[in-house]
Amino acid sequence: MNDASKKFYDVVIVGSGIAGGLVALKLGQAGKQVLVLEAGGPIPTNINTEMDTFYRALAKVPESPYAPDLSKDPKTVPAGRPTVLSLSNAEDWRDPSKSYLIQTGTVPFSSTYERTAGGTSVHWLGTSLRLLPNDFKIEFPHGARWPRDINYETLEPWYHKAEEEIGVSGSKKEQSYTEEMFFSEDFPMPAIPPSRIDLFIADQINGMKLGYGIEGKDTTLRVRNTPAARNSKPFKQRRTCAGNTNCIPICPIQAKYDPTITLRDAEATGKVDFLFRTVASEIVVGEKERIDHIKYLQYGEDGKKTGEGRTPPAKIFVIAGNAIETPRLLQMSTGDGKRPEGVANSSGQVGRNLMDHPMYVPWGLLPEPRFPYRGPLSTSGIEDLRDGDFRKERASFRIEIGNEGWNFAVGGDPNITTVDLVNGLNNSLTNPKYEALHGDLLVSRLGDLLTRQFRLGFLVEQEPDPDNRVKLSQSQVDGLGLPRPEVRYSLSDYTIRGLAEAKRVADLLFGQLNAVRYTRTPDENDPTAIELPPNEAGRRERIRFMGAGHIIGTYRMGDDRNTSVVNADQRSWIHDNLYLIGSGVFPTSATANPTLTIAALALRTADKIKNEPNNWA
Amino acid sequence: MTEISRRALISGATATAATAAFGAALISPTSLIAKRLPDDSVSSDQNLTNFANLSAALTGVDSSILTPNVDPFGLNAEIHRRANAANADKLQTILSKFTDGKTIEQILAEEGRDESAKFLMRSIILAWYLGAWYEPGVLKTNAYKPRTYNSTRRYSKEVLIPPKEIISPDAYTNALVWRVAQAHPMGYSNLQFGYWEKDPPPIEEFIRPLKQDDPKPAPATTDPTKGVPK
Amino acid sequence: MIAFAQIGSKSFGALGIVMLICSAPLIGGRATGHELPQHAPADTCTDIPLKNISEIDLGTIGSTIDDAIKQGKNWIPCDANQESDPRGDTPAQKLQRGFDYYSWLTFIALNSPRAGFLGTGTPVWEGYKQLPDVMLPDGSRPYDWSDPNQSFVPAPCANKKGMIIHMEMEETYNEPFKTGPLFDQNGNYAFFVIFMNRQMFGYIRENDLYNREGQEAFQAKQNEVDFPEGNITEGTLGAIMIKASWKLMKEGVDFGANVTPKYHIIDGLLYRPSQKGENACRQVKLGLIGFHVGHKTFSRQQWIWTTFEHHENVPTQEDVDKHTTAGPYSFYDPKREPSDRPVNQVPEGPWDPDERGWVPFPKKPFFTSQIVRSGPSSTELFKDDDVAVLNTLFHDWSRIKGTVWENYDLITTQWPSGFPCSFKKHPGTLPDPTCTPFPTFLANSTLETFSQPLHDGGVPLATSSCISCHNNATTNPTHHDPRSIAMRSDFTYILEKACSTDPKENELREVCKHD
Repeated sequence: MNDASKKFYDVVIVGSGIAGGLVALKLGQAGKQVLVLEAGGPIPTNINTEMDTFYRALAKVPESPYAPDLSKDPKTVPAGRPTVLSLSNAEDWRDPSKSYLIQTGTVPFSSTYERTAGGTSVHWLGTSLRLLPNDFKIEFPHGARWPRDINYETLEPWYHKAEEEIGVSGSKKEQSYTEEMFFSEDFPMPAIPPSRIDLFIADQINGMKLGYGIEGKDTTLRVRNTPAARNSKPFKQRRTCAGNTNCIPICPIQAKYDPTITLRDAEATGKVDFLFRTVASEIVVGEKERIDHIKYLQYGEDGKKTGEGRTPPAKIFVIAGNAIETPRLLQMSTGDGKRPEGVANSSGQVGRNLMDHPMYVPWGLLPEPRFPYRGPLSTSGIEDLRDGDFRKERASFRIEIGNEGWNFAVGGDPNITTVDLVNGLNNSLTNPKYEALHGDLLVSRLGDLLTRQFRLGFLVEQEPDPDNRVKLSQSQVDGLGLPRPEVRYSLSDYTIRGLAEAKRVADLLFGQLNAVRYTRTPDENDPTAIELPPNEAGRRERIRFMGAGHIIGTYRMGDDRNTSVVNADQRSWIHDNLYLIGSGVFPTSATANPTLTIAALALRTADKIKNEPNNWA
Repeated sequence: MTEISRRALISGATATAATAAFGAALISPTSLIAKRLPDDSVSSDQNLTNFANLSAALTGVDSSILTPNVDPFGLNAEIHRRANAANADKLQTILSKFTDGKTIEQILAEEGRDESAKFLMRSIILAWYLGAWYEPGVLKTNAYKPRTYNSTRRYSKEVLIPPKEIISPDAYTNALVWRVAQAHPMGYSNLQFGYWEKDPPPIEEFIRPLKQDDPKPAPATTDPTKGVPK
Repeated sequence: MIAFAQIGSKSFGALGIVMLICSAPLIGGRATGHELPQHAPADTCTDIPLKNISEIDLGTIGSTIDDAIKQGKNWIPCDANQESDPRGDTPAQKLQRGFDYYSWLTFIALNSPRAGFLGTGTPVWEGYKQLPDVMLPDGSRPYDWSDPNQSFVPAPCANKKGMIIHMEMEETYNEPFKTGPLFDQNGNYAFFVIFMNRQMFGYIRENDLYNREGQEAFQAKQNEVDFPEGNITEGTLGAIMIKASWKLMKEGVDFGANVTPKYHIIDGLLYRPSQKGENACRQVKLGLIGFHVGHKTFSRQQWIWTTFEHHENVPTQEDVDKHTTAGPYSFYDPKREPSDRPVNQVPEGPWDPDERGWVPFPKKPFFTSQIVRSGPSSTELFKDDDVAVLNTLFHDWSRIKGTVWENYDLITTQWPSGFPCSFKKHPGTLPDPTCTPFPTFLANSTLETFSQPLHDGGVPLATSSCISCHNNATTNPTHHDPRSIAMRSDFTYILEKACSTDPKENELREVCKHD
């Protein structure tokens, strides 16, 4: 039902992304009456509008198919979000008329999200890796450690349930890196076949040793299939992947899982109601520190505010905005000044420890055509370097192999290379003589370049830093008059040392592949430029990093209520009937894309919510 | 019932003048087919054939792919319309020289210091290759940017020069760049699961007409007297 | 005069076929002393002069049909073989007309009985096999086509007569990929039923493709799914699959004493195992509202796709814009103009009939869909009202005029237009395996309700297109061998509906878990 038609709900959930969606589904299936508030628009009847918008977009960024329009001034947008385009030059990221986030650091927080039915995972790649056993054991200063109850062994059954629920294709054999990393069952679907590029890289790189890794100093590198929420066969009435090479931003045939599927399943239980274009504005605390209701603002399709309201009474409240919007909401909920630090925040950690996976993306040309722009955006990666003793000194990383040529790396290929060769430019660096071609020469030159393009991605772990935080802007508001998030972000030396090693390994791999490097060195004044510590030759290199689209850490879980916001069940220490879910609970960014872990934790929490008798007394 | 040649109907010749007359942005030619063809020599059948042949010479892709016999998309007419709107006189000059048998290089040489033909041709090539219309003037400005420019920012306007617009979703899905890459448009795949594990067909299959299986010789797709390079 | 002839039974087992051949003019339906030619069995096909159809003036179509029937050629066309190379001077418009003519002949032949004329008996396609009769829940081998135990009759439906509507299967009430159900003005679901002809069934049965283990074994031998094709030279019919959409008929309105039926009406059995007693298999009357046909042919390896609709289904966008909506419509209420909500929207969930508490002809309040045909009209797609003219001509044909069939319209025919592309086997290896479908988009307002093209056209891959969508269809093999992956299934989603012989493998498909 598309309205809060009931007088009373068992559960109110803010946010309809993968976390909120899965909890809504499981509790709806368990017979609970659920209300979901979603800041963005409803599930579209079909994807005509989104595909049309995408096809016509000049820059096919992750946000390109989705509302709201990317060109609007954020202060006019009722439910805005950060965009890749606001990061595309040195100025816009700090210009409030261009950037939704008010960024106060010297380094931009470089990941973006969506506020729409299905949340950010509408535009995700689909990578569904599990965290490593050691990811759960690593300890950082200031109490940053996963709770005792959350480790690979306890989470394993939930990983499996998540893989079955969203439909992950993969190979158990390839993913059990170590004995400790066991799989109770195989994936529900077989692994997606590798691409030509994967096979070439495997051929050249498999067997290399770098002297460290998940199996210690004898670790050999190996190109492995990446488990992904992408159909390798017909699954739950959705089609098999056809290699549209468009996972980000949108799969035209929904072969890639996106949470609107879960939302439809939730709706099908008959127990879940939705309020779309409904922005939660305050969590109101009642007696005994229990959440009483949530206030919200609503707006119409034209973006104009249509009214205000509050949720009917409910027993349990679940906040599933992402790791920027949830702390924003918690900090907006000051109870008219009675609670200046916001809801759930006696630890002071709400909004703090914002993390991402800073990504180093080198790109180049392979010696022979290996045919990119084919298949899913990424089908394989190298996971062997994610763990080891070195983690005491520097951040670790995983390596993603891209199938999309230079499209992601330079942002806009094959257009850039094509315009270069037609108009005599050299923005791609592949046309140093500034030649302008046509006819057969154009075909052969362009064909040769495009078919040899490739890129890698090094997703580097980031350690929590309490000063990397999300606060409320004191001066900038959104289209509903709510304060926009103010973000301060930086990279620590630990992380930068990880980036430095990533660069070194990238160079080694490129050498092994006999590939020519085209990665550009950023300008000095590029805010995403990182000056690395001196390398083996004593030189300080400069690289740029990108955001991986992972927003982590700002309401972390822990065992100590003084240093964490929620416990192992994602339940607030302060408010018994409040759960905060999503990657904001991760105490560390760990070494894998977060979505599968988000899903596993969400399913586990739904189970806890359901079975906690005090919740329903 | 009047006989209307295949090209006039389906390849959108009917549409061409209609669009020129009504200035409507083309979303799909189907909506324009019903509109009547005013008497307009610009969009005559012969002009469009010549334009297709010129486009084949410019792009290096066979004209039977640019204008298939049954053409649901009408791209040839649409790109011709835009080129004509950008610089009708220059387009006419180019076309008449081309049909006289001059090569692209010869035509450009004869233009001398006047670069408008050069940039118009580049607009045409990019329209076919990327499904996007780049105004010749914008190409000209960007061709002479200082070459010390060095930005790494993704999607920055300096590196990803914005076209005026994407011509249409069909123009994007039929863009030649994907053929030359022996791939498929990102966001539009007609291929089968697992195709990416194998090499693609050779590039000839993407830019030249498919060969028939039986020994019957295929009819010529271009007039050999027009000097169009193979 | 009556003549008997034995028609080639070589491919079709021991069935000897008796056919009455004679000629009689049909104009005005007056017999002139000859018996009317009988309809030939639908196992064979005809090469009604389609080769020259592009040369035929529309005005002569009526007499062409009569001539064809006189020659005993009222059969399903083997192929819509146009000139093999459309790069000749045949206007695309005429090619389209040829395909549309093929579609009408196919429609007439399919809706005629096995041996007889349109209107003289049960349409032959109603004797085709339904999907659940081929893809059995336990993955066992379906009975042979001519076996008297032909179909899988659920226990509650035993001893009842009618076409079984399998409501335990989501595909019956929810449009493909779970895009949403459709509700008529009585608050009833539209029902969707999939059929395949004998050739298609035979290929599945003989190649063990009716269960997932069989599909795996088939692929392990490097086989490629390649359904039999209609071929004029060989005289083979090829694979035909059908999707029919039905509406529940209301007594006193759609059928009954003093009612002139406007629909092709059959007896149906609403099979709902979740319900008790009578309601587990309820007898109903069903009226045909939509009819998809896909036919694999030699010249069109991407199949030929056609669709018909009852003209009372929905108004066109043009009707709505010009306020000429007349009604009554099954899926549109003109009294709610301007529409109180956007048209062509999916209903709110839940969609499962049990979750909704739906019963046939529910009491108010109930949800009704508000649907228009939003795509370009035939006038806009092809000059000079071709499809509309063709529809008028066939409606005027003596065996259709004055019958329920007069109420059914051809929407259009989609066919792969690339040459020689569409003749090539192994289309999966081509740069474009779809060979440029033409027209680009096609939707039936009752079957692809929510992804119809808009007035200005459509969006690639998002808007309904028979060939583009079916191009994504794959098999669904079990995975005991790691090399076993999903393969192209030759433009049909039927194969992915197979169950497994191993109950553990059937977790993901609800109907495979039923007994």
